[in-house]
Parts: sequence; structure tokens; C-alpha cells
Amino acid sequence: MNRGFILFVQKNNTSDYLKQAVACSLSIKKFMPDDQICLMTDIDVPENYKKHFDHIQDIPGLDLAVDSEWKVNNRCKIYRNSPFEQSIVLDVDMLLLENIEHWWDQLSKYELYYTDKVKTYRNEWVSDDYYRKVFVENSLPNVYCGFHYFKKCKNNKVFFDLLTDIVVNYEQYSKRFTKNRTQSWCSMDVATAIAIKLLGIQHKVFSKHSNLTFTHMKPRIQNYKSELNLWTEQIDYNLNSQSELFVGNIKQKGLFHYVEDNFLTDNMLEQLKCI
Amino acid sequence: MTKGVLLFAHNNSTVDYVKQANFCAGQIKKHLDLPVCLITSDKFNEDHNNFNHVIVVEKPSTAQTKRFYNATQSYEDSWNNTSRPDAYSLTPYDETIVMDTDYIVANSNLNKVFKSKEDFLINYKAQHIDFESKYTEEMKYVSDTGIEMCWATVFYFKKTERTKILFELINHIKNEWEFYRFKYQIENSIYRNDFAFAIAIHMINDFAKTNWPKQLPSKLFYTTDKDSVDSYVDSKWNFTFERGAKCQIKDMNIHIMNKIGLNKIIDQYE
Repeated sequence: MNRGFILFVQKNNTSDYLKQAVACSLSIKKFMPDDQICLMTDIDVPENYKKHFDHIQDIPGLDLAVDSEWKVNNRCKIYRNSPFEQSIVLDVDMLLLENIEHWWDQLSKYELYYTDKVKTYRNEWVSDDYYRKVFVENSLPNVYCGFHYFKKCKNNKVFFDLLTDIVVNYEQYSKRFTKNRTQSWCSMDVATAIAIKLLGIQHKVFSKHSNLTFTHMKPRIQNYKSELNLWTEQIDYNLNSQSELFVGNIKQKGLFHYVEDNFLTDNMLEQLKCI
Repeated sequence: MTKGVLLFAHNNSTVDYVKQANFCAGQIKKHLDLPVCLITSDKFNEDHNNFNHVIVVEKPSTAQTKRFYNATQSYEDSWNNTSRPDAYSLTPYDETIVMDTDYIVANSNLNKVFKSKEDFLINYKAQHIDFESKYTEEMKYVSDTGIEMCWATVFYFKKTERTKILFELINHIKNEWEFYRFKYQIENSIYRNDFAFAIAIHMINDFAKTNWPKQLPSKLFYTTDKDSVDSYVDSKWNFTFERGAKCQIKDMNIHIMNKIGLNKIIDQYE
């Protein structure tokens, strides 16, 4: 059964997601050199970037993110267009920092896997709901799509068809499922949470015990008091020549979701290329 | 394997640590039945007869001071806390418990360390005995964005290659404190053993949290230097907390941070 990582990039006006996808791909290849990486994008990928991906695919169908600044709506098409039977989908502003071969073994026990808990850079579970009010106040599953896994199967076709319907008709779903606190824009986390709730599959897609998750660097959930808007302005960090990332002198492991665009400098990208 | 307790005492003009150590040693003998070794740079009074060994060292050359509180009163004085990283090289025992002289042993819980297979045990958490004071972020981490704190008030080690490296590392951190406090985002310039131990443990663990070292088999209970130490009668300690509440405890190991208040009680007791 073939397997691989999927990175999704849609053109937007604010962030260089393609550069981030290259960095993410380089970090995956460092630790999982035999795994395939598929880039799904509407960008014409420059020649010097193409070599970092095993597959490059267009985003098919109508653009569901025409009016969206954030350009994530089309992510619901990943399932249909994945070239793999088993796929791990990652946000491109992530780096893989260790071999996760054993994750594939654990994930293979699921048809669909999402994480509902993430970690701070100090390897603590995030308990602060600063960014999660919509989920808390509407009793939605606390899903994070930054890292998820799926197999090609009948149940998942149903799930991703529903997810697409939610994205296309977000306003209607939002009125029904986020009455207590509404988010005007469609985020994949909220749309996915609605889909999971509608199908009642929380017990199938989350794990109470597993460590299959990621370090989430949104600044207000790091259990520190500083209210600076950027963690990169608050904490010292560096990536060494062995591809070890230290944040606040703490060695990071697994998947690191750096969130802030300025984290990935050109120097760091060059360094990743040399590793 | 020889076992014992190591105490460090360097007097200043505010606190007679040697006297405090003698009282502490008396409690150790009563509850743990272990020999006690005193490391001191001060004149040894023959009345202080609770020690099995006394090792005289040079006065640590530290210029650092801190404010010593006795509830509402306070005094600025020198703080000689820099010899604790030498515990490994100075101890006469194969297995050693090191404790502050203001840590009062009142039960035999700590003897469980000798049945442990661990080479080093320490506390990561501390609990005020009012059970109301919050365990603040300042007590959890060495700094707002820094690593997890540990409490060097009391710890256990046996001599192994790893603990040898640990203490060498702590000494190195102490000697290069300006660098390490900057690297670990510690605002206060005063050297603290709690911080140096936390940093060394973090470094030995490849800069991550692991399951080494484990916690001591005795929770670290404390009263602060803003709490009054009222009396010690019939093995019962009486305190008045900063917020006015009174409390009595018995058979509980406790770190009494009000050293001045503790010494006044010791004077009465002796």
C-alpha cells in the first residue's frame, strides 16, 4: 500500500507558502527519505523548487477560496486528489524534526485521524482555549487539521464529501452549528469539526492516549505571560546543522508548527537544503 | 554502601546557619537515623554535637546578597549558596541526601530513597502548607519562557558516572552563571541552585524533558519567609501565615524559609 505526505499551497497575497512547503519537504526528506511527498498547488512551481517534491498536482475544480484571503477552502479536495492510499496531510508551515516511521504504524489502525490536543514548545499539552472559543462555546470537537491522516475508503469519501459541502455552504452550517459564537470566515478546523460532529465519529478519529500530534506555536497558548503578538519576538530559537531545532533552549521533536512567517528565513531554508 | 545526610552552612550576620544545621541534624538523627556531615566555613561550636563529620572549607567568595525576611521585617545580607554544587566531591557517603538547613525532617519518608534504584531524586513541585497559595508560573519555570524548575532544597544522589557529570555541569553553570542566565532567560542576576540544577538536568537530558530524574518520595512542603514561625512544642510547629491564618503541623517534613524566625525558635528549644 503506498503512502505519502501531502502539502497544500494556494496562491495568496501575504505569505510565501511555496517557500514554506519546500522547507517542510526538506525536513521530511531528512528523516523519512523513502516517503513520497505530493505538493498540491495552483502555483506554477519554479524549476528549482520542483525537485523537492515527488508529485506536483493542480488543485482541481472550481476555486472555493475566491473570496477568501486565507485560501484554505480548497483543502477539502485533498482527499479526492491524493495520489496515495494512505496520506498524512501537513500544514506547510511545519517542520518535521525526527523520524516518524512508527507514526505510520499507529495511524494505519485508523481510517481517518485528527488530533484534538496539541503541545507547547515546552512539551506541555495546551490547555488555554484563547484561539478556540468557537469550539468551546459551541461544543464542537477541538480538531486541529494542521496534521491529519486518511486512508482511501468508502467512509472517508462520505466524510470528505460532507466536508466539501460544509465549505461550500459554510454560512448555513455556521448558523446551525456555531450559534453561540460565530466565526464569519470558513476555517478548515471549524468546518472539519462540524463534519466530525455531524457524523458522530469523534470516537473514531481522535485518540485519548496517543502522542500523534504537533507543537503548535500560536503565541497565546504557550503558558507564558508575555502578550507579545509574535512568539518569534519573545523566544530565542535556532536550527543547527544536525537539523535540531531549539526553542527557548528546548530541543523540539516531532512536528513543529511554527505559524509565524518570519520564522523561516532564507538562511534557514538554505541551511535545510544543506542538511 | 555508606549512607548519610550532607548539610551546608555558611553564616552571615543575620542567620546562624551552623546552629540551624545542628538542629536540623538532630531531627535527621531522630527520624532518619542517618549520620550527618556538615560542610562549613565557620567556627565550629562544640555545643553543636549532632554531626558525625565536619568538613571545613574556605568561605565561598561570593559578593551576592539577598533580602532575608522575618515575616514583616527584612535585612539585606550576604548569601553564600555557592558550595552546594560541590556535594558530589565533598560527601563522605556513597549515597547522600543533601538538604537545606532550614528543611525540617519530621518523619522517615526520605529513607525510601535508599531502596530506590535511581541515582538522583529531586522535587519539581513545591506546596505551601496553606494549600491555598497558587503554584505560580514563577515557581513552575526558571523564567517566563524558560524550562521547568526543580527545587534543590532537598535531593538525593548516589555516586555514579552520570551524577558525577551532573555535578560537574552544575559547577560549570555556576562558574559561567552570567552566560547561562542569559541563555535561559533568567532576569534576576543572583545565582540560585534551583536554577543551576534545573539547567544541568535539562542539558543532561539532551535539552528536553525526560523521566529522569524522578521525584523524591517526599513532597516539598514549605512556608515562606513572610510567614511567622510561632513555636515548636511537643513536635508541633505553629505558624502564622502572611495573610493572618494560623496553622499547626506535626510529622510533616517542611522547608521553613523564614530562617530568622526559625533560629529564634531553635534558641528557645535549646
